[in-house]
Amino acid sequence: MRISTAGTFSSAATYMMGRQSDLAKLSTQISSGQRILTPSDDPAGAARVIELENTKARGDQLRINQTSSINTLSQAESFLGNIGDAYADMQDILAQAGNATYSDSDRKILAAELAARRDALSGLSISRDADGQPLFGSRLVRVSNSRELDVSLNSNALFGRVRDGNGVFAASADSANAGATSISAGTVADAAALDGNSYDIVVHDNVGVLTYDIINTATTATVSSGNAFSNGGTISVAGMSVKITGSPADGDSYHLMASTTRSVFQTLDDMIQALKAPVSDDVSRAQLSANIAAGLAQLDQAAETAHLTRASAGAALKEIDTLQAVNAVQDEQLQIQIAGVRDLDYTKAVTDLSQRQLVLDAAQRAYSKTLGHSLFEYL
Amino acid sequence: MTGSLLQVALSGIQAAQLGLNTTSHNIANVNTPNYNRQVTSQSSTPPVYFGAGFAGSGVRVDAITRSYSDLLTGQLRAAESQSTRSTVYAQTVDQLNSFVGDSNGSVTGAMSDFFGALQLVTTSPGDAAARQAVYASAQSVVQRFRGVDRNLTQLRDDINQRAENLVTDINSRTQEIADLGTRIVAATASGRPPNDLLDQRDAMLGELNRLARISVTAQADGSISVYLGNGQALLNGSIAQKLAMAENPLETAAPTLGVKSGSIVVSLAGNGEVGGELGGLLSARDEALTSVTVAVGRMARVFTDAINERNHLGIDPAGNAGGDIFAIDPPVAAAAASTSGSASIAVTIIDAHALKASDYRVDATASGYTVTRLSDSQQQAFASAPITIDGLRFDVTGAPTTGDRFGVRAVSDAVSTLRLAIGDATKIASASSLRIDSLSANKGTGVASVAIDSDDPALHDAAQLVFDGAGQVTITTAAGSTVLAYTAGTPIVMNGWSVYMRGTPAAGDTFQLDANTNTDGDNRNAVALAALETSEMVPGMSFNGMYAALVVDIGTKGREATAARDANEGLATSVGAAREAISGVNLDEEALNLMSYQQAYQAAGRMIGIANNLFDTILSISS
Repeated sequence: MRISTAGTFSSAATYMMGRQSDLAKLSTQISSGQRILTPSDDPAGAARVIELENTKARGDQLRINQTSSINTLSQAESFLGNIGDAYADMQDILAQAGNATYSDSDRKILAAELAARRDALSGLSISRDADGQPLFGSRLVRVSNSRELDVSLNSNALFGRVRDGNGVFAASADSANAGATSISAGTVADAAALDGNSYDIVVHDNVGVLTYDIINTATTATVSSGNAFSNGGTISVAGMSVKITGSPADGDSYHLMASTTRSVFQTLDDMIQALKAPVSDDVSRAQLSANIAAGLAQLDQAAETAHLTRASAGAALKEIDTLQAVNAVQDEQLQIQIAGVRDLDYTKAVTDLSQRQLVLDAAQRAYSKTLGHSLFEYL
Repeated sequence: MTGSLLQVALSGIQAAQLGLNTTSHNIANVNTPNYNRQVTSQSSTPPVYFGAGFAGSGVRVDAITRSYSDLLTGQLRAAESQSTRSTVYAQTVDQLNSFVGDSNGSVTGAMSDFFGALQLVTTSPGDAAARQAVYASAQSVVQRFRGVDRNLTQLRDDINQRAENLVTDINSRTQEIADLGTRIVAATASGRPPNDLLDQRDAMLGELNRLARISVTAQADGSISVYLGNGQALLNGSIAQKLAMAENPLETAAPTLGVKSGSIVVSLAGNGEVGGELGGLLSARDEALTSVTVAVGRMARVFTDAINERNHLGIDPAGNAGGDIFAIDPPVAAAAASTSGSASIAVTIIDAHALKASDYRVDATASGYTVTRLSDSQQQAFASAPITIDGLRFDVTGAPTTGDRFGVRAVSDAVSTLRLAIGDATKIASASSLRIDSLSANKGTGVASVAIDSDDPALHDAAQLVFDGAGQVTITTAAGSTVLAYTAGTPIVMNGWSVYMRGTPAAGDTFQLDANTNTDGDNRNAVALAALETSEMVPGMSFNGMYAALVVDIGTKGREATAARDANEGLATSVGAAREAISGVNLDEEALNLMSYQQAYQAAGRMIGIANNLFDTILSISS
């Protein structure tokens, strides 16, 4: 085969340029540390890197959300703890006020103390978190790609909608009662028998023998009548049990009403009024202790609500803790995966580089030998 | 006798001289591209009859011809135009790859920042700094989209300008070849090939062929006909056709190649077949560039639509209903120049999530309309307007004439109109526009929360939900009452909202659903906005998935283009080597030729000396 001289030179140039561009690409890869310089180097890999980096960025964002919600939830938790403490303090004050040896003026002091606690509680109810956001409000937190945590705190539910009585029904003595008695908050003896109706217990003094009737207030039908009354004995109706202690007068009545909701501030205001009222006789004393018992029961309910809310905040915190751990592992995995797809295998790259260098070197030597000779040297 | 001896020697000297001349011409042209090695062909002159027989009378040079192979030249032209085409194509796709693959300038990076900023707003919806970050990143989303669009438009303009220049170049080269042709025809009439003129024309054809693939047929008189790759005649003897780029208002403002006939330019079919640099540019523009443009355009439309739609469902900190965050102009339909009817088409997007990454062509037919999706050339016939296809609606006003043609740029020029619709960060509707609360008389433990799923005319109508405690809930709005089944754990869905219950509502428990007015601390709509990042935007893909698909598409095109370029370069090189083996100059060979002609020359010269001696001998005898 004839070999054209110009062709030999140009093919040598083309070949060596090809090797040099390989070398240039390898050195760019080595200096950038990345295997994929443009998507065409590995289209599927480049797309995978985009997906993985996006997932990682989302993970980073979720971590910020998780941290922020941990802050919010921890604050809410400690705040709910404070509320629980405030309720306990108020219950202490109320219990003290029930002390028979206290005078009207002692109770007034306690009333003033209770009023101060009430104001402090109302201050707590408009708390804001460290970011200046209200603790009470509708809040969602996206804590994982598929989970939105509702961390809303509803001030209405916490303060405004506290059930009275024992949470199911409220037992009270009629304010017109002549006898010095008190009625317990009562318990649910048979949940299945609860019918949501209100009942009155009316005591009759039949020449020294005390009996009581039970009347359904909605229908005014008498449920039972002529039951023997015993001081401190259990009276049961429609699954509800109460105890009346003391000696009721003829016609004294007691009300068992299905529990409704009231604001805890309303209850506290009522308590403050009740403590301020002077106690002059057994009847008003009984009235006071009935009021205190009702107040204590309602504060119990409020404390219970705060406690349950705190428990759910705690559960959310625990969930986020778990998610954070999972997230950290995922982040590490993603980092490894991204590196695996995008990053350069240095050992291979450096080996390739020296191999190509060797080839280029050999080619250069070969060409300089073959191209360096011509017949014209002998002419 | 000696007279003829001198004649014979002289013919030898002349032949050797021509040989030396040809050899040195070859040596001089060793590096001339497209040079075809020349060889002298010589033969002995007719003998002279003597009594004893025929005596030789010397040598003559018959012709100086080129070592030339028609077949290999044709193959080389095909390979070279293919190689140029794929090189230009690969260069363009490389550029596209760098626009798309550049992680600093990528759209997806800006979108990721935007959603990240929204996430920050969810943690503190009232914080002005967090909102400002959303505003700033929304601006950078627009800038990135516009930046990509600028790059793409600039590339398109570059390509169109280069194509324009190439066409001018092709026209002038064709004319030069035609002019040279007339000289060749005249020289060929002498009966000997005008080697260097032919070489010159081959070189010019070679250069023309790199601009656009040509095929050449030669006539006996030395004239040639030249045809473009798509079959269009370019040169017929001495008559050259003029090419021009024809405006095509229909498809993404892409001028196509046409032939000038007077002042009219007739578009040619098969622009992709043109080959060479021009063919490479046109196919890179119509395949790779267009596919990136429509993909980015669709992304911009879907993104704008999804974010705006969600923002509409919330309320901003001032308590106002959310408006558009981004704005983008609706698609336009352009009528072709040939359209004669009075019809015009208005285009509306009815479902952005159903959009395809494609523009459309609408042809008025005798039986209605034919709509062609340009990305896959799929056609669909419609009997009448309005036409709904792929989330778009085309409303036709006026009467079209059969044969009228409209181009609908559904997505391709969307990005250039993308802009922010808000002036500040307060317009991000982070709060939900609905709230639900229990009535104080409720006896159960039920706590309700509400989420907004979609826009509905009755979304903001106040509603009362009354549970009967026996698996049913009555929803009363101004429009009347509806009874729905209620199962714990399953949301109650109506009018675009979903109410989720925790705890157990007792019989008669009532919840009131109202338009929300308290935005303080409410982040529910911001959470929904941020969640769009991972939601399915078009079937099977999130925003990120759409971008990744684009990267795969253009990356694969780039890889194929590079592979094709390397393969075609290899082919061109090997065909070139085969041609060089026949036509190229080898200096060693020429050195040998030089020596051989030199020796022939010296020997013939010696013959003259001998003839001279002989003559002297004769003269000395006579004196």
